[in-house]
Amino acid sequence: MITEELLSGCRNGNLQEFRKLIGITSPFAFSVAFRILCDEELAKDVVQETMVILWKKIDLVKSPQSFKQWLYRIVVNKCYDHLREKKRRPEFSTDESTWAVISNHISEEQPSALENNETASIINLLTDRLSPRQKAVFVLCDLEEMTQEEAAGITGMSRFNIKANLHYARKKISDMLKKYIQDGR
Amino acid sequence: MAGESEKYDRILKILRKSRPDLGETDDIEEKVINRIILATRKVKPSFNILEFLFGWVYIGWVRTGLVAVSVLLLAAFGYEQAMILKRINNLNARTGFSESQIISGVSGEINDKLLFYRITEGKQSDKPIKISNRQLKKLIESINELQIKYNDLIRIIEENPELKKYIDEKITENDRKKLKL
Repeated sequence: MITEELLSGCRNGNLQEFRKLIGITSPFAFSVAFRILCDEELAKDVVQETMVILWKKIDLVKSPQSFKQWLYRIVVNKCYDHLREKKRRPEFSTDESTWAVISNHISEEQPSALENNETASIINLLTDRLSPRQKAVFVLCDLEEMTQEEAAGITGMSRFNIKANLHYARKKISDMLKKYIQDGR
Repeated sequence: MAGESEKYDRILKILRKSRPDLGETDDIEEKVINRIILATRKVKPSFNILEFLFGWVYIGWVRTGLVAVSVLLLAAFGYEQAMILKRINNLNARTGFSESQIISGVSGEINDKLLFYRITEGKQSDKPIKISNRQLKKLIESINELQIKYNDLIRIIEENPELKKYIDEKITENDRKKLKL
């Protein structure tokens, strides 16, 4: 729980308080970064970079309510940078075995939670054809279960753009599922 | 279509359930704190005279050039000053040496004292001039030497009272000039 006392301690340069803040916020920041980047080490780097920026600009955080949106905005912007880098050197190709894993999980009655590497490969496969914006909106709205208003605040897009990007993201993922996952499997 | 939607929902359910696990946050906390401490050390403000003087120049090589030129100018100025001081000291030493030699041709402290005594005609000297036996011996030796050297000259002067008078007048005149100086 982010409190005004905790933020005020950080603003006064108290590193112990900031350590507490890192402990509370880094799992959330990591979740978003990992789901967007699909790379554990890269996501950890993003979390570190975000925390350093947070320390430098902590004075700009006005209240605990606005903190979450502010933190996610930094994470998403950092992820955009890495995604643009990734686009320049594409390394992913369609993997039949991953589609088989997805198919198995879908057919299970009570699907179990996935390991980090499985999650990464599945998201990577599903969102491979999405633009960085569509990917970010998909992760924030459908995986992190944020409202469209929250996603708009984080990404800086209008609500209309969020809606449109989410629509195209869902459509592309559904098309891929239709193409690669056979009915009855 | 309903089938595709169901597949989408099921995969979303699985992915939502599989929240990425960061594990222990200690490692990240430690790394972030270290980076912050390092960054703070790097940006610690320190007064730098070069930054103060040339901070307004933003082009790297221009700033380096200005620093190099100013260092060269400073070095040249220091060298010039050292040379001028050396020359002044040299000239100073020469003046003292020449004045001492006017009396006896021998430089030394006693000769300076005698010159002063002679110029002031003994009026400015509160204390008697103290000299050691050795200095006295040296003085007598130099007088004897002068007497031998200019024996003929002294004889000619002694024989000619007009010349003697003229020389005495000149010596007195010279002494007055020195006193004025």
